[in-house]
Amino acid sequence: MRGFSMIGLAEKRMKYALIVPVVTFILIVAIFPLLFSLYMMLSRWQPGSGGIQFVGFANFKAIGKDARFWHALWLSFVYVAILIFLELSLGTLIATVLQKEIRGKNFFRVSYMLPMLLSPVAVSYIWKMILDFNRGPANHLLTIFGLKPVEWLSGNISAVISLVIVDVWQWTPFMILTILAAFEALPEELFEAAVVDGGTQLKIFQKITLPLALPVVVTIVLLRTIDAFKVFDTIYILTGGGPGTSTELLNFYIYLRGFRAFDLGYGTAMSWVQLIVIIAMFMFFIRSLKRLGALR
Amino acid sequence: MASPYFKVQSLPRKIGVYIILVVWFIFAIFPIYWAITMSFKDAPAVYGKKPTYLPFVDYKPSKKAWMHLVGKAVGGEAEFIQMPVLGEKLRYLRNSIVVAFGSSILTVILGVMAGYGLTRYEYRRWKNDDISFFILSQRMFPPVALAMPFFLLFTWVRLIDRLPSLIIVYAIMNMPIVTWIVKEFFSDVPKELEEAALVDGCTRWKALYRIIIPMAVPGIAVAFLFSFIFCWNEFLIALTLTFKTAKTLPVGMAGLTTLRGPLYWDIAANSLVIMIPPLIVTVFANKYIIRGLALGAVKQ
Repeated sequence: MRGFSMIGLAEKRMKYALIVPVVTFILIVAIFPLLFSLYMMLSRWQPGSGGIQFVGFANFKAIGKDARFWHALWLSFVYVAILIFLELSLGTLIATVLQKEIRGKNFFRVSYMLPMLLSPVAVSYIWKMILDFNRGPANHLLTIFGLKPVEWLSGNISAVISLVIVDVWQWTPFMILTILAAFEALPEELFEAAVVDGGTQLKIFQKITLPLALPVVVTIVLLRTIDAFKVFDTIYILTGGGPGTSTELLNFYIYLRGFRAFDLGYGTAMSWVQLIVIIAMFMFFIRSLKRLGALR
Repeated sequence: MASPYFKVQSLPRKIGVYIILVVWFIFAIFPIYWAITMSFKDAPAVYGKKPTYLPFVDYKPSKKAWMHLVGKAVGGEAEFIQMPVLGEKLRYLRNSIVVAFGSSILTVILGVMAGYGLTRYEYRRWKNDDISFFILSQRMFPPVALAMPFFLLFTWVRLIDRLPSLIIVYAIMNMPIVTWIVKEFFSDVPKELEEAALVDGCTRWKALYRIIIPMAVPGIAVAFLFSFIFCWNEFLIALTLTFKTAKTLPVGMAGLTTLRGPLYWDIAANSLVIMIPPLIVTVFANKYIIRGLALGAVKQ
């Protein structure tokens, strides 16, 4: 009996020894800063202001009146919406094609994966050269087709389009590969039966592939949406938020206020507003999807 | 894949499929190709009337940019032109390597322990799902929201502009994906194997590192790769928490354009240096990455 309880004790010790380090690590290194940031959002902390001063909700009142913040927030939503639409449709299209038996399937899959793994900073510099007004191949391609060269990085709208192009280039691969994985996880017998029943390609896609893979696709879209809001590196290198404030997305504006103007309290307050807005959007999203029956 | 659904039969359809695939292939690969050719160009090849595309046909390749990278001026250059992207005495390069390895090792050790615990035991007080969610929730926060409190905290504990600060923050950011992947792989290892080992008199710890871990090596490798690539590429946190001694390669690179006018070939060579490790990883470990992506998204 004694032996057993010894084992039981060792078991128990191990059980907690496995999980406690992670939980403590996260608690100390992530939760504490988080709580601290809750305090920061209610304070002013600027160099020369003599340390942290508690100011209550003053930061939030300021945000309410900050036109630049609302512009950045609105722009972020437009940007993410365009991005998700493009990446999801391109990703689904290419995943559907790659689901077929084709020669060189693996070659295409691996080469499509590349952009996603490369440093956004390095990649942005390369795109900057490609989109260069005078010497870039992008404008060269346009002139070959008899079109006018575009001021890719210095027009109000074209700068946003450029950022979208780079993001689509870098992150559609994520959509392609994960959606493909979702398609390939579906049981093959279903497709066989559907073909025997005389379903056309389009019908099979509409009635079988899409509905069955939908819950996974929704998860993929949610993950991608979270990440799309985090866009920063490409803006920093390609446009610096400009021209004017036309590519100043929320994360970039928060960075500018927090670390360039060194207004950490205000920056923190803005990032909490952003977080709450995004979470609220997600709740709404998931709830309406559940109502439609797309999610279990 | 036996079903005829997966076969592309008619010729027009086949052509359509390949047009889609080839167009996207060109779009995906061209920027990488452009960086490589650009890094072998010289002023005449860049500042001509039209962009040049093919080495030896359009322009004469030059080693200039790569010579600059290793710190050598090319004959006839008035000033010693060298872009300090790798840092003095390769400092940024070293920093990047130390941070990526250090943080990934830390994350994987913690992730393996948590992943194993979550698949083998029931935690009554906290519930397994709650712990999983708690670990996953770390992914929601935008890095800029983390950067501000970390900046102040690290300033107070004097870790600002030092490598441990980056290692710690990256470990937190990677913990979700690493734990997740490792957990999925552990749950594929049959429990019987472990029980047999326990009957044979192994302790649990021994069973873990003698039997379970060797069997889950692919999963651990996948998790390590994801974490490594993330650390290697990360920019925002490194930008805000370092200013001199602890700068990593992307931060070093981002400071370039302010130093002098655009020397395209140098910028291309520099960006290639940052891109080479992920490129190598993709060539040799693409199967693992595809598997990891499938796990990360599909199984949730």
